[in-house]
Order: sequence, then C-alpha cells, then structure tokens
Amino acid sequence: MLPMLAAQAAPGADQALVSALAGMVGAGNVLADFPDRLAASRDRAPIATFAFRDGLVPGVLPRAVVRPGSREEVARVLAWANANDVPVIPYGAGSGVLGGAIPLGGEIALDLKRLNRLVAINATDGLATVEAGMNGGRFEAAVEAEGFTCGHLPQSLHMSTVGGWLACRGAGQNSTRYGKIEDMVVGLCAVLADGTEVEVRPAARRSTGPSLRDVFVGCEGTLGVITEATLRIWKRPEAELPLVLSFPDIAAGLEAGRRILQAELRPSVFRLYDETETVPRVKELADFGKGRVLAILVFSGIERLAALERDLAGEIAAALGARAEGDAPYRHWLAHRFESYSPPWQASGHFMDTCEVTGAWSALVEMYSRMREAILDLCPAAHFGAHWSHAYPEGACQYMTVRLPPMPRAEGLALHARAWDLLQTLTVVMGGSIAHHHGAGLLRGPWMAAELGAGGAAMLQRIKDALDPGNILNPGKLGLRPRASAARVMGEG
Amino acid sequence: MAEPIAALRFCAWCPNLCRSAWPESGAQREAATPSALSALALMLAEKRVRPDASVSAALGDTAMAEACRPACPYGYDIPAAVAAVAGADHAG
Ligand SMILES: Cc1cc2nc3c(=O)[nH]c(=O)nc-3n(C[C@H](O)[C@H](O)[C@H](O)COP(=O)(O)OP(=O)(O)OC[C@H]3O[C@@H](n4cnc5c(N)ncnc54)[C@H](O)[C@@H]3O)c2cc1C
Ligand code: SF4
Repeated sequence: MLPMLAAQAAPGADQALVSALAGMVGAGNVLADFPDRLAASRDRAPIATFAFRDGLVPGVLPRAVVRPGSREEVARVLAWANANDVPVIPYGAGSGVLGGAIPLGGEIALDLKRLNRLVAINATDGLATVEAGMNGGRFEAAVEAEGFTCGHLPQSLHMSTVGGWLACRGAGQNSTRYGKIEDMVVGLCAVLADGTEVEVRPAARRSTGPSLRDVFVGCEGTLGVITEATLRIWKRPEAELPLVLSFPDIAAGLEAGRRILQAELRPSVFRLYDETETVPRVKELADFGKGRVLAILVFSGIERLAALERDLAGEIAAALGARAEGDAPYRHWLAHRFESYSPPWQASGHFMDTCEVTGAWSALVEMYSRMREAILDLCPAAHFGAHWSHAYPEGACQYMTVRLPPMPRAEGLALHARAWDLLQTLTVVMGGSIAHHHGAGLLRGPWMAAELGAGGAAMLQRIKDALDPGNILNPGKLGLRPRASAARVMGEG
Repeated sequence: MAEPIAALRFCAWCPNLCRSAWPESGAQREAATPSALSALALMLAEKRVRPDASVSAALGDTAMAEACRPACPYGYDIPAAVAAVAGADHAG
C-alpha cells in the first residue's frame, strides 16, 4: 500500500504501452495522467476507502485507463494484452464493494463506459439488448420510457453499469418477484483473454450442455469481459401495493417470510429489519410497539392480483402476531432506496462495512444471534444491524452493517478483518453462502475454498487456467491465483 | 475553507449516486466524477498529493460534477468546493 505522494512521484505510464493502446482505441481514450489512474485505483470497497482517506493507494495505480468504444476494440486490446503479458481489469462504474476492481500489479483498467448504447428493445418478446457500460439508472429510464421496467433495481442502480450487474451476479431490491440478474440474462456477448469473441445468442432457454452464459455471469472479469447483454424486461406494474407490518420479534417475521414464499406469493419487495435497524425507521409512528420489528413488503403487477397477494400475505403474517402499521416507513424507503448510508460514517473516521450472506430459513434466527454476539464480543462499541431481503422459498439474504468506532488505523483494520472472518466463517459453519449479491472480489478470496469446497475451488482455478493461461484477466480475484507481482491489500497494519 | 472541505470529505466517500445525471452521449471519465474530483481535491488540501499540471487540469474539469449537481440528494455544490480548494495556495 503506497502513499499517494509516492505513487504520484513514481514514473508514469510507459510511452510504448500508451502508444500501442492509442493505436487501438484512439489517443483520447488512453488516459495515463495521475488523476485518471488514481480514480481507477479504487472501487467502493470500504478497505479502499480506509486507504484513500489516509492518503494511501489501496493496491497500486493502474498503468493506464483504456476506454474501448466497441466490442472489436475490446477484443483488440485483450489480444494485445495477452500477447504482451499485460494484465487487465474491466472497470464499470467502480461501485463494487469487495475490491474486485482494485489493481494489484501492472494492470491497465479497461473502462467500459463508452459501450453505453441501448441497442434494441423487443417489445413483443420482452427483451432489451444493452451494451455493458451503460449506466443502470439510464438503462432503467430508457426501458421505462417504452412502458417497461428492467426489474433489476439495486440500491446502486444509478452508480453502476449493466455489465457490472452481470459480472458481480447482483440482485436488485425487487428480486423476490423479478429474479436476480442471472434469471434475467437471456443472451450476452463477451471477449476472452486472448481476444476471442463469444456470443450466447438470446433464447428463452436451451439444453445444449452447461450454460456458457454462466461462465460470465458472476465471473467479475476473471474469465472474460462482457460487452453486451440481452435482458428480460417486464411491463411496468399497474399497481405497487405496500404492506407495512410489525412483528413481535425477528423469529416471527422470518417465519412469516418463509410461509409467504412457500405459499407461492411473490412480493416484489420483502424487507424485515432487526430491532437496531427498525428504531430509526419508525420514529414517525407514535404507537409502534417497543421491541417490535418492522417489515416492508410490496406487491406489484396487475392490481387485482397484487391486492389479493397482499391480503393473503397479511393473513399469514397476522397469524404470527403481525400488526398492520402506517405507510411512513415505506414512503421513506421509496424516497431513499437508491442512496448510500455510509459517507458520513466513513468521513468521520468510522470503519463501516456491510456483509450480505445467504441463510436457510431453518438457520437464520440462530445465524443472526450468533453473528451479532460475535461482533459485539469482538468490539462492544460496534454498531451491528441487520435486515433480511431477497427472499426465496428456501431462505433469504441476511444483510448486516458493522460499524466500528474511530480508532487508530492499524487497530481498526485488524478488527475489521477479524469481523469479516467471524461473519464468513459462521456463515459456512451454518450452511449458508458467504456472498448473496455483492460478489467475492478481493476481500472474500480467503473464504472461497470454504464456500466452494476444495474440489470446487480447484475446478474454478482450472477453468480460469484453461480460458486465461497467461492470468491476465483481473488476476487474484475470486480467490483465484494472483500474479507474482501482486500487491498486498488486506491484512496490512 | 471548513465548509468546502466538509463537502469534499463527504462526497469523496460517496459512490457517485448522482452520476446518472450525466448523459450517455458524453463518455463518463472516472476522474471527472464528483466523488473522484472531491477525493483529489481533498488529498490536495491535505497535502497528500502535489499540485502538478495534471492535478490542476483534472480539478478544472468540473463539467460532469456540474451536470450532476442538481441530482445530489445531499445538496452539495461540489464544483464550488473543488474550485475553492483548486484556487487556494498549495505552496509549502
Ligand atoms: C451504496 C451501494 C449499494 C449497493 N447495492 C447493491 C444492490 O442492491 N445489489 C447489488 O447486487 N449490488 C449492490 N452494490 C454493489 C455494486 O453496485 C454492484 O456489484 C454492481 O453490479 C457493480 O457494478 P459496477 O458497474 O459498478 O462494477 P465495478 O465496480 O466497476 O466492477 C465490479 C467487478 O466486475 C468487473 N466488471 C465490471 N464490468 C465488467 C464487464 N463488463 N465484464 C466483466 N467484468 C466486469 C470488475 O472488474 C470488478 O471485478 C452496491 C454498492 C454500493 C456502493
Ligand atoms: S455530488 Fe452528491 S451524490 Fe454526487 S458523489 Fe458527491 S455527495 Fe454523492
């Protein structure tokens, strides 16, 4: 981890590399000045923020930022990089929170935001084809203008790219109804490390061996660069009907979630908050019972159907002690659903991070209490809050916020690392998945073998070695082998 | 200078949630996003980067931050905060 002053003073990008790349994408699209390289040296992983706010580069500066304007240019850059042993990191909008876009040694950043066209909307088949670098918010606005929604509405909608959604195998806030990104991708185009172009033609389904699409969805740039996607889109819902409830405790709320999902009801939004996260959300509700926890559900689609689903869900919840509450928490959530809560905390020196995992319904209550206890044992002054969203018939995502108070850097980093270890290890012990929708990036590398099993992790490495024998595509991420020159980002004092 | 610095310190750690206000017709340059500009200006103010020509040029390119200003839900005027730092004397 280098001080920014030292990184700035180091020799800049070498001219041979800049000229070679300029020949492929145009001189104006190779950015080699310090500010451009600095901006592409971080993503929104809190470990990167902790470094930046102390004037440190999280890993290294990329050698240059390269901005291809077409799939052919991506292919040309990759073929050249492969032949010249230059590692490459695809860069969308840098909103990833696991350090997936952080350069570790000698990389160029392949900024995909010039690939930003909505290629086509096929209203009959309900499909939209879009280039990978298009901003998510602008994509949704464009399909909305045609009477559709893309259905993938992450909190980071306006700060991420469509390609980043696929690359990180993300989930939007309406995933319980519309599915996660992997349920929406019906076709894509990608480029392999050696410049080979691959097209998975859009088709509602196919039965022709393992899904090539899934080699790319979730690969975080390690197996290929996604240049275009064809996504399922939906008619904008006629109605969106909220159901705001309080439950006596989280066990009752989770049980209601299980019964609602297993009754085949599909709320577009399902959010259950623990007591810590409930309190600030119910300030305006004078008679919200002390100790009760908040749930926000939304049912959407054809109004009559949505109303029926809402009423059925309400009945299931009432049998578990739920009370109907006023709409204020829903309206507040709706108004702020695409914002970020962390800037004031990071600005004031806190060590704030979030960790989302998947748990089975049968495990979630215990998973929550063990994790909460573990974090508060580790640091009694920490803030620990959780909510459950993205529900399935089998389980749900548990999304936790851990905030350590300001303290000396080395101490904060050590506690932060220990907190991650506790949460990820407990997840595996309790049969869950270490990542629900943020991906693995750099930070989750140490737990990938536990997640995939020794055989699974070895298989992923063999797939990587076969597709990218030179290890040029985003090396060292997803728990895959780093290059020898990789900088150490985690665990420094 | 306290007020601009406070704005920059917030914006530098904000994930650019205003960035969709910039039209797709203009390619987004990461260093010109409000958050990247804020981080650079903050680092300059804290003397963690040197005021060289590339830094001055980057801090002078506030077109994207200007386009994004109305979309900032926190109400910050980042171009003004950046200008306040860029115009200060960083010698010594
Ligand atoms: C405040 C906040 C809220 C968030 N909320 C959500 C949420 O609700 N749901 C959710 O799923 N995520 C969420 N995220 C995480 C993040 O926004 C997503 O992972 C997003 O999909 C990343 O997109 P990006 O364009 O910013 O990717 P980047 O951060 O630029 O890249 C992420 C990774 O994907 C790779 N990559 C990027 N583009 C491509 C491509 N075209 N081809 C191959 N590899 C590529 C990069 O190399 C990197 O490894 C949130 C993040 C923040 C900061
Ligand atoms: S201008 Fe506002 S919304 Fe945009 S990055 Fe800065 S603080 Fe965030």
